[in-house]
Amino acid sequence: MQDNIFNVEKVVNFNDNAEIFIGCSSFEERCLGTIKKFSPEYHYLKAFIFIYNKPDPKREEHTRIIFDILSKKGPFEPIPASETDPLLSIKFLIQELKSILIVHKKITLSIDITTFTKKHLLLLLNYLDKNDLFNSTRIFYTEPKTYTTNLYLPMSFGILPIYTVTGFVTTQSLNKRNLLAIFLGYEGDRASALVNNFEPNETVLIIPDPPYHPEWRGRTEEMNKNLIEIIGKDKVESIDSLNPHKILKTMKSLFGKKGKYNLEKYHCSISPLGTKPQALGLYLFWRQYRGKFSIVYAPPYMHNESFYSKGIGRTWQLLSPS
Amino acid sequence: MKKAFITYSHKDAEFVDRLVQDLETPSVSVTLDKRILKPGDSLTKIFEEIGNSDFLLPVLSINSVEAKWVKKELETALIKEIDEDNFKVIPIIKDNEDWEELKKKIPTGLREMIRPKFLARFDSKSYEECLPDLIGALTPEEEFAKEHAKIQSPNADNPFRRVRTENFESIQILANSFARPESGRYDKIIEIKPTRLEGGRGSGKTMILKSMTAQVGVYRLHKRTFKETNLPYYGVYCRLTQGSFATQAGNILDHITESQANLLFITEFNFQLVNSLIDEIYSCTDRRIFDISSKEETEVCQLIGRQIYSGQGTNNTINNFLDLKAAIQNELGILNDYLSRKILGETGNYPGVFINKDKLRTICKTIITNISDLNGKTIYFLLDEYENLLPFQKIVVNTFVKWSEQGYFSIKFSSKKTGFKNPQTLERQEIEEGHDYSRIDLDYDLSKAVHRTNYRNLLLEICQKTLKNEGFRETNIEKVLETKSPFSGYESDIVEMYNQILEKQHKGNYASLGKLQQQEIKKRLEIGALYRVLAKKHKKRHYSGFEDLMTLSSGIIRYFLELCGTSYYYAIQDNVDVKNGKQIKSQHQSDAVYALSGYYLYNIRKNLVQYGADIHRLVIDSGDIFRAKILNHLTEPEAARISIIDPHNLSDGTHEKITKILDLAEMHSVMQTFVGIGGIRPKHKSDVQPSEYILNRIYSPILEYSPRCRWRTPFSTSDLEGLINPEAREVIKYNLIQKVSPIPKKSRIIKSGKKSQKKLFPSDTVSGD
Repeated sequence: MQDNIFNVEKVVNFNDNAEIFIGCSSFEERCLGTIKKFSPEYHYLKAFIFIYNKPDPKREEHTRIIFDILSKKGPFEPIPASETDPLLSIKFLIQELKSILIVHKKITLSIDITTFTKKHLLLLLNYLDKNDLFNSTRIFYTEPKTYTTNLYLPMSFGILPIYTVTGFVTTQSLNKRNLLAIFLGYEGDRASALVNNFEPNETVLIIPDPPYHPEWRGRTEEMNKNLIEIIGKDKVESIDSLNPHKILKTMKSLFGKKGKYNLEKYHCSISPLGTKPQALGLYLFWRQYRGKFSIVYAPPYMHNESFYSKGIGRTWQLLSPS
Repeated sequence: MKKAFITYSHKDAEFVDRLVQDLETPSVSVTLDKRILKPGDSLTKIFEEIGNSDFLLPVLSINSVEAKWVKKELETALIKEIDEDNFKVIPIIKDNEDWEELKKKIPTGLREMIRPKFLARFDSKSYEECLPDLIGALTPEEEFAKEHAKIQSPNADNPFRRVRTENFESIQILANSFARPESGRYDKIIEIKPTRLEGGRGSGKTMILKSMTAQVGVYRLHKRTFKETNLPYYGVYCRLTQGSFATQAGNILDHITESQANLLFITEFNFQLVNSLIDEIYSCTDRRIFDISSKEETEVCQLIGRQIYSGQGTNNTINNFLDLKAAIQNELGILNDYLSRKILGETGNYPGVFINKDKLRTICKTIITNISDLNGKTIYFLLDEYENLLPFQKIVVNTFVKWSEQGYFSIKFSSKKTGFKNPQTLERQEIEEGHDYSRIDLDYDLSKAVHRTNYRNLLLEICQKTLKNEGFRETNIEKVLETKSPFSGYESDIVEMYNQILEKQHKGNYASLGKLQQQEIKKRLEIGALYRVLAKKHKKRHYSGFEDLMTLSSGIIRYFLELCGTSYYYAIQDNVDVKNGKQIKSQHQSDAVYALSGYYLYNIRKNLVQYGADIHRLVIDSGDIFRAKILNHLTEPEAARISIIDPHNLSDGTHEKITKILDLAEMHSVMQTFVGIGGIRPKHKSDVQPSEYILNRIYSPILEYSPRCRWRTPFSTSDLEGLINPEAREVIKYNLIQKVSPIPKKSRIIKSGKKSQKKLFPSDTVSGD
């Protein structure tokens, strides 16, 4: 796999393989980011669009726009998905892909991960991997133009039960020291609640650096300042917010054999509360350190409706097929 | 929710309107004159509104300092602030003002009263910089959260910073800090018979389990090797966290049958136990606590390898611990992969090795027999956080409890309260308390004299060790904490209050009563009278001294340590040299009590999974009801026991939500219940639930009722359900208050400074508030 990421102005076919496009509709406008950048020459065999089942007028509007664009490109299929349990929808997709593979021996999957939930993304990547499709995948991601964060209001309230993402379980023994690593986002209370419920021996807090936009520098630290104070500034590490290859590299340096938090010494759980590309980078890390840590998640009980992304920012190709 | 009233000049409306929009949060509601005054209303309504608020925010500008009404409102509010502990004035200096010039226009008296106060300086800071300061002042719990973070920081110079076992940086520090519970309790924990440790968060479950590991044992008993300790057991600590088991992830039972799940989990569990056992042995040899020759290691590992792979036809060469661990992890990986595929609907037989209970026994026997340092011992698997397991996994662990046997292994497991609901085993038997295992409740019931004494002694020992380890001159915590009676200064008011109560009871005058009768009155009504006097004077109760902090900790060690830690923090902020023998002043302790009380209450919403907001509401409302009782009831003022009159309704499935909420509240020590109070803890989900709960006493300061829970307040399950229903809450609460303290409508709510209001209760704007 190539290590660079590319700013995408126009989406074109990567190679001559049969192209499959996979996206996800959302109330966030940036779910249209990649699709709106399809070049006239871009063509696919089939497109699949995941649609989460929580009713939302903005999601419905964006879905209509997506369908409108795709209808001019080729066949597409909506896949209803549950935010809390997307496995069924993934199962459907895998079966469809297997059918396609019977006819077309080589395919390229182009996935726009922008508005997938992190759980959904991790599960999907894992199952593509198990079916030898990961190396045929390229991944797009569109940044938000801005977030309407209010530094004085919580982004979400409370948490739902913590769970391990299916398939991402550690085989480390139970008597090792517990290490919890959290990719921090803007939901400080959620990260704190995770630490309070988990009660690890050690915690590592991972800040996205550099942020997507320079003017956002310091926001994550501000939103998590109490937690950082409790855990200690010496336990804060920085990781790229966008490039999954850099994220992988930093993860290896932190958690690899020679790292400060050598996974061999811990019963480690990692929680991706940060950016989507960080979740992708985490998956790349999982591929190389399978079973050495688990991935845990704590969904918020309730989102603060004022917090979400606005507009469509830059689109990136984060991963290219090998 | 707090209420803030803004007083300002209408010429500054643009600034104020923006401020109001930004200040209104789930924690704070803001009132202005234009919001409350209707045409024809008297302006005195504004003073009423100030009286009903928690904060006055005067916006000071060149326009407002010259306005008569603003000055009047400010004056009234500043005097009210002196009289009442719970009311605050926070002056706001408007942007683009010259504060030095403004000050000259404020009357001298007012200016002097404002001088020492916190000011929100929009004149000298940008709006974005100043707003968080102001919000912080309005939400002291948020501000205290920042302080709490500093107190808990690993770099904090606070002897009480290690409130969780996980905070101990090394085994040696942990061992040096460990204090054994009373011998009757601890002996039962360490005996061969399996043990179930039950207790709230912070009660010491993990500490006790870890005390039984070889490494801690060696340090604790001041020996050099495990052999020298002569312990009859070899403890292996296993924490059952999320992410430990593949059979825990996903809705596994939607994809495989329960018997298949059991088989896989038995295998997974066994492998993890052996994995942990090997790691523990490895660790001990590394630290030279153990002595194993390479020959012993090879023999043991080859034997175990054959035991695991017997009949599999696999050629696995396992010659040392590293090989053994690699093989186990490989098997666990196979299991994880198999389950992932199964969940996605892929078929196929399980390609890994199954390992059942007999193999675990055999493996344990092999290790005990072939490692000379372990000859004659029993392996204790010390399982922490049993409550994290799924129901079918718990049944498997129960089965292992039943299979425990001397000379092989025994299971010691801990769970939070309500984490153990089903005693079933795989063989459809039940593990029986007493016969199959001992149950130890680590929470201390402070209403029982014996418990109180034992808890007291334990706290004294923990603090003595802590302070000694940190080099403190005085290590007796009772002497470190200054004590001041809460009655101090109110003695004559209290006697007057007795007279008022006696008059209502038609029992004459206190002074005319005999000594015995006076003692009886005091015993029954002293605290109630104190609260009534304090309410009249708008003062808060003072808390200090070892006994007060012990009571407020509700019999849970962590709370006591946090109270001490926060008190210490305030003391050193005031330059008190506690380390060299100075006492922590009573005021520092009282401040710490209120800060922590508010912080813990506030955190219920944030930290409790799923029902945090409901539990937060329930606690506040219960507190209001207890407060009404303490302020009004003639004979049973300290009635902070929630007594459920129809507990069978909690088990019949019709009141599922409230049952879950009570369970969760108990699990997280928001509420407590004890054996012998309202029934024994039920063994089965369908058994009658406990009928009596006590709110964690840590909430009593902020909710202003007595932490001593002498009498009961009855609730029905419908009442409790009503209190968690935002639609019905107000009416239910009113009715309950009427039941416990029938008072005339007009004087229904005695102004406590916390939630005084004209209408009954502020309505929720966001769930949880």
